[in-house]
Amino acid sequence: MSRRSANLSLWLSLGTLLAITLACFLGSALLPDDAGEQALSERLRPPFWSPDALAGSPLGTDAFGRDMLARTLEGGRVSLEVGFGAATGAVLIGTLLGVVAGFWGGWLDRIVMALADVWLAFPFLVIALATVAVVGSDLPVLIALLTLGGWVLPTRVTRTIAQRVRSEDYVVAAAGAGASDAYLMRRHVLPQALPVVLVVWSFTVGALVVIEGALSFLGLGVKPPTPSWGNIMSDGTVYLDTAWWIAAWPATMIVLTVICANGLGNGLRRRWATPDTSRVGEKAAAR
Amino acid sequence: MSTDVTGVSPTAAAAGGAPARRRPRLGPVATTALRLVLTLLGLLTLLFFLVRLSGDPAAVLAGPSATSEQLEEIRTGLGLDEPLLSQYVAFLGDMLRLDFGESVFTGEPALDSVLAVLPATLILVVTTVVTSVVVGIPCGVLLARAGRVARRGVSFAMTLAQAVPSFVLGVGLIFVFAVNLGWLPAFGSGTPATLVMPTIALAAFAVARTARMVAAELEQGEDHDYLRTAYAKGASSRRVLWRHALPNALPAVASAIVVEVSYLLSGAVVVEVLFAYNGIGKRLVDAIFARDYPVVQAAVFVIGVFVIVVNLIGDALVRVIDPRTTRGSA
Repeated sequence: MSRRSANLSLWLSLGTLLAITLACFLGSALLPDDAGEQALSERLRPPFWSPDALAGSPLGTDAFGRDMLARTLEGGRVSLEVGFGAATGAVLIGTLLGVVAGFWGGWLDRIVMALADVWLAFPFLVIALATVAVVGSDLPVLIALLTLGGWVLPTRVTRTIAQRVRSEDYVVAAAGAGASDAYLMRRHVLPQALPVVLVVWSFTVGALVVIEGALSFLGLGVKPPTPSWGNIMSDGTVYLDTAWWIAAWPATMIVLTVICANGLGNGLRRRWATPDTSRVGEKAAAR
Repeated sequence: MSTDVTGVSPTAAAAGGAPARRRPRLGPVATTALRLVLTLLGLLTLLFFLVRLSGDPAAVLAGPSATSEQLEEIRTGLGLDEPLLSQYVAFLGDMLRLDFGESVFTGEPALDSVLAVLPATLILVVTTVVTSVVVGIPCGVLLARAGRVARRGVSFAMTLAQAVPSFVLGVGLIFVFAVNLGWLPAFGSGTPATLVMPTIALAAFAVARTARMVAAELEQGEDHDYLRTAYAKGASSRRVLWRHALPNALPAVASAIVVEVSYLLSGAVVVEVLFAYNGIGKRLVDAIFARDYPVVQAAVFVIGVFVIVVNLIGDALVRVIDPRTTRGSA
């Protein structure tokens, strides 16, 4: 891809992601108060292009007569809160662990890396399901759980950087001049890790929005009637033959969010092309 | 090989400036085995604490309809009044003897009810892996070698395949092929036709990854001496590709697919539920909804062992395909 089209896709991804976020968090406040309410007389009305469309419900209504636009935006709030929240948590924890492990090495490093290996060897969704089965699936639980789902990648990449930076001449010199380890990590390692961390964050948002979607699609995410993209889709699968739009809107939003998160990650990676960022690439893309 | 699976470590080990970071080196097989034993132990520990996290483990294990006598029986059986450590040891003992207790609803041993549906999941995983290789490698070759337009097209398709989660793709497939066209059954398991849509839903991501992997390997290898030699002695570019470039890309692709299997199982859970495909993932989710915790435990355990076995076989396989990895360079 040429430099110009790479930049274009970076800004396009960032813009769309921002637009989706704003729409979900502010947009649902702008809609009329009763937009998400049940109205059984207006069940399963089609979207605006159909002659049967309901005025004021451009995306149609669901099986309870609830406005799909309101439901989709409100559902996005939960999906994005979990996605952004857990990705941020994962990146913070991962960076802390990775920088410290890489900088100090020794037994701490070995334990962290062994944990990361063990963690990755197991399908995360299965662990998440077993946990939700016992602990329940309130929003804080989901965010904490998915934070655990994303910590390995940021830990690994920042560890590599910390290991490299620690042996640079200027760091050795600063240490010789009496700089503390904490100062060296803050002043020399963190700034170098920042671009990679942002790249990893973008990919992680995409990956975690998918996992949240999968959990609530299975009925093990946030509890209805609180909507999330996954549980709206799961409601919609029952009506695929009569009201396909119920599943289609949240599906579109999930795919769009993931494409943009991956596009943002890839765009940032190319823009800040360093040996560190080029290594993150395809390994990190959402699953 | 084990170091390759961990992603960044070969370069990381070289870059780390610390003197003599590791003292005695275990052989690659021992390292892998050790890691896998640790994985299994971690998994069991997680199961152990999960049940106790819930407040009343006996209530979790006995299920919602248990009588107070049953509860009392399970409490003494678990030794809940004993110290945590001895409970843990007893728990590990049960697990190693493969004693997961009985299903709360059918009374059947939990492990048996899970093993009964394991073959169905195995078939799904095999068809998915085969699809990802058979479709992914040609797509990768196209990505690396095709003309501008074809490359753009394939690249776009792969980006899409990586961004559409399996359950979204699955719902889309049901809408098109079951609801509208009526070509395939939307639900069920047991006949080949019921395998088609779950396989596609599950394989799309793996196809895209395999393709990108192949393309990256081919592009990386473009200016290797052995390829220049092959061209110089007059081999056609097709022969160079299939005879020289691809075989050298294969080990990396194979090990990526092995890693992929653990993710495939995550995806399989969702896909099986969506298509009502009677495999281990559906059994797990059904058990979760029924609060049938012995079955949940057994299912998680079996999936864990499955991943471990796949990793071991995969490691061995990659070693066979790629003699370079056996020379202690890993």
